[in-house]
Amino acid sequence: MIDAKKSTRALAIEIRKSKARSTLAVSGIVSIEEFSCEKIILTTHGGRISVLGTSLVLSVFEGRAVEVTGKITGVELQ
Amino acid sequence: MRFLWFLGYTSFNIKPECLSIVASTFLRLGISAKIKNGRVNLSTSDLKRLDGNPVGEMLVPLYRKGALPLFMFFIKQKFTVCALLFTLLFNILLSDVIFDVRISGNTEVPSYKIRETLDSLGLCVGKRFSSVDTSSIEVGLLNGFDDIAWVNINRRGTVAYVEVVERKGADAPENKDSRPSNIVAACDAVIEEITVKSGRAMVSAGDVVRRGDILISGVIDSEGGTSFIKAEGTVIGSVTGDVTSVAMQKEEVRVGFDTKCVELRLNILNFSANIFKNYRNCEDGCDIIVDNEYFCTPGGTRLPFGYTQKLAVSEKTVEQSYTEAEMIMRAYEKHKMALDLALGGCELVGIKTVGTMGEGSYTVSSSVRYLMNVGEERWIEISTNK
Repeated sequence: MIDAKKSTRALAIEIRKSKARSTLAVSGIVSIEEFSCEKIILTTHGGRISVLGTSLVLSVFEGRAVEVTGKITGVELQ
Repeated sequence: MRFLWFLGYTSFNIKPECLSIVASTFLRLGISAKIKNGRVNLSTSDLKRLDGNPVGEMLVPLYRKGALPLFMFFIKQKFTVCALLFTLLFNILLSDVIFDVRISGNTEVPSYKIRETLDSLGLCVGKRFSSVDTSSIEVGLLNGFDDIAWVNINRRGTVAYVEVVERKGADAPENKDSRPSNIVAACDAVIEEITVKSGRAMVSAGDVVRRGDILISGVIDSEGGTSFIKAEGTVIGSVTGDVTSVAMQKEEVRVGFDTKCVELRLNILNFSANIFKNYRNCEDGCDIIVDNEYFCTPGGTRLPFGYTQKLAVSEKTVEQSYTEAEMIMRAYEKHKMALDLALGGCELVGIKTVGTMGEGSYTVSSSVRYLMNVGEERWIEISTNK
């Protein structure tokens, strides 16, 4: 699980879900550990976030924020 | 990232095994990018940030789009250019056309009369501004109306503003006439009140006067001799009169039995287009009903589109029979209208009404007493013959 207290940077997760696709926006990302159309693993100061789905698209923004769009089937916080 | 279409960009392919490294590097360097199906579009400024970074070697350039590609795409289309040129030409042509004529500043002179004169002088909706000589129209309008002292025609956009200043006070032509006059009684009356502004009162309240009697005299005797002035004042008198109305049991009345559309016009803004006009089968002197209809939104807001239809009413004469009750009602309705007409806004003091049933008719007669201004001006004719 992500330990927000240990995290040195602010972590924010926002999920918007619709019928066609979902959007997962995460800030405070350190690096992207794995990236494919089916799985994206994001590393934060507090832990790892695994995003599972199909046709995943990753958008990287300034300020260490990312947005994952596509058919998201599951999100795991480790 | 959203403005790449306008600023130009380069599309790169990323090897699947390098996706996470490239994405992490973008994240670290603060590059905004969208990675989809192993492809990413990067702007020139983003590429400068990647200079000297080993990640740059993982990107395989595919193609490059120049600045404003979307705009250039539309420019290349012939129809777009034609449409733009046509719109420009249409705007230039329409900007010279008068869409509306607005008249302001008039209180005494009716706007429709000014508009009619302007129409005859050539300033009307649909005309071109370049073909209108405003100076000559201003002169024409001044010549056409004695009550107008000054006219100015301005153009703002496609609207012609006609500003009018009317003559007032001493400039008014009616005030210029200061011929000596008396105020005489217009009818037989009992004087109730007299107010003199100039001249000499010849009667007082309670006097009985006959038609033509002098009420206020314009002849004044002074130390220097007799002088003549214009008599001014108000004389309120009590007047008696009779009003009679008759209603018949059988009357011939004209009734409208059919309406036929004889003219239809389509109105868009201030323009009016004639759809059809047919007065061929219309009787001379028949009633024409003008019906203006405007289209409205479901919310009730009136749209600037509508139509005007003129309906000709065909009439025929029929003999109408009434019962006694109906006849009496009609007699009193007629009598009420006759009284309103006879009194004409005068103050009613007393009324005595009698109804008489006759042979197939009913007569209503009233003796009325009312207050009215009984004075009327009459010029003094000064003879110079000795």
